[in-house]
Amino acid sequence: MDGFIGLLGLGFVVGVIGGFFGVGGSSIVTPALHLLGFRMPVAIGTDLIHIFGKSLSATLKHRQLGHLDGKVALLLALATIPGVEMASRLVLHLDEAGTVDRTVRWIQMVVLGWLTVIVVAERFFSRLGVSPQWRGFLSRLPIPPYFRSDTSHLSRASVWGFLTVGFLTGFMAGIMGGGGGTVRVPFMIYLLGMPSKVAVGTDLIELLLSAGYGAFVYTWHGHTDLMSALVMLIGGAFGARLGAMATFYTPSRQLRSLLGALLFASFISVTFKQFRIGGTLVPLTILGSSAGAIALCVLSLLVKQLRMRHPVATKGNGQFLH
Amino acid sequence: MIKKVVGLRDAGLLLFGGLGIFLFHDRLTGGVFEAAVTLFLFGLVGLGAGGLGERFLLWLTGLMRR
Repeated sequence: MDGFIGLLGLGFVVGVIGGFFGVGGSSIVTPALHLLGFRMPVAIGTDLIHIFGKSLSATLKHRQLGHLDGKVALLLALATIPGVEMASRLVLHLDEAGTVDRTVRWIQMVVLGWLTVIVVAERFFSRLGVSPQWRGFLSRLPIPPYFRSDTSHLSRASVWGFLTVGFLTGFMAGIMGGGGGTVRVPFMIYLLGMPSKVAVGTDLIELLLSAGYGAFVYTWHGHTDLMSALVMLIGGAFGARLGAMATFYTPSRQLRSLLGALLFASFISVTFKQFRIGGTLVPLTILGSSAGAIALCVLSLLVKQLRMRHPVATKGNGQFLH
Repeated sequence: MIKKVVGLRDAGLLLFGGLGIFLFHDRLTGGVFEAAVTLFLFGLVGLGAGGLGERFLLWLTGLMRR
């Protein structure tokens, strides 16, 4: 019974985070399942199949809210595959050299630290009333062909900027494991200049594709615990839908601040792991408790906004009524 | 009232998918067809549970249409 409630709660918290930020949460769930006694392949397979179900739920909600950009999702998906392939080759090469764990964690630390600094700097300059000019510089590359996207408010964006981000995020996903949403969403917001909410919704399509493929392969080879995944999914899909609703009601600047907090917690967790502080449990506890606190913030924001019946976005809250 | 909060479509999806996984979970891995059916059932559960969650929150906050 304790295990049931634990899995349901874990699924719910990660679901809220996933629906709100467009991330899968595999950096929390896979090690948590492993700590609970699952073999690593089964932990990964179980995590992936639950991510597939909950991201389907969140993606449909974001579609209803107009947060999906199909063109961008297609471009990113095209370039993600070579990125993942190159990362997997690098990981195998490092594995042969016997330095894979340390090198991968150094890369994670640098990227997560850099993204945290970018988010904090942007929030800081925004408070001073200065709009950072570098935001979205990759979508403004003067290299044709160009495309237009009304959903992402892009009038003349270079295809190459999007392919670059797709490749980089695919590479990071291959290095870090999981869907790579933790890196992809800030890349889309800051390097491509996409609106935060559209970045979250579009990232969920990528997540749906990658988690769906991964879940299929792991289930095919029998590396999934379906009952545990089902329990997590019930909590996760519930949480993901609430997280997606919260994205609609939350101002973009608040979304980016909370994203900064999540990136910072991930950075601290990886740093602790790298320097072997507190074994396996302490880094996971830091990340898990931070995710829990952020999920609580997200839910309280949602309930507050719903109660006020005063949505900050333009569509009005009527569309939530059944 | 219960019908409004629960929603027959969402409850049906959750029930169908959940029961399918619960009853056949030991036969749903280890093959291509099995993996495809499993993904389908998990998709149904995701949609059903998500829809119910949203309805529940709307009911809780008094926003469900009378």
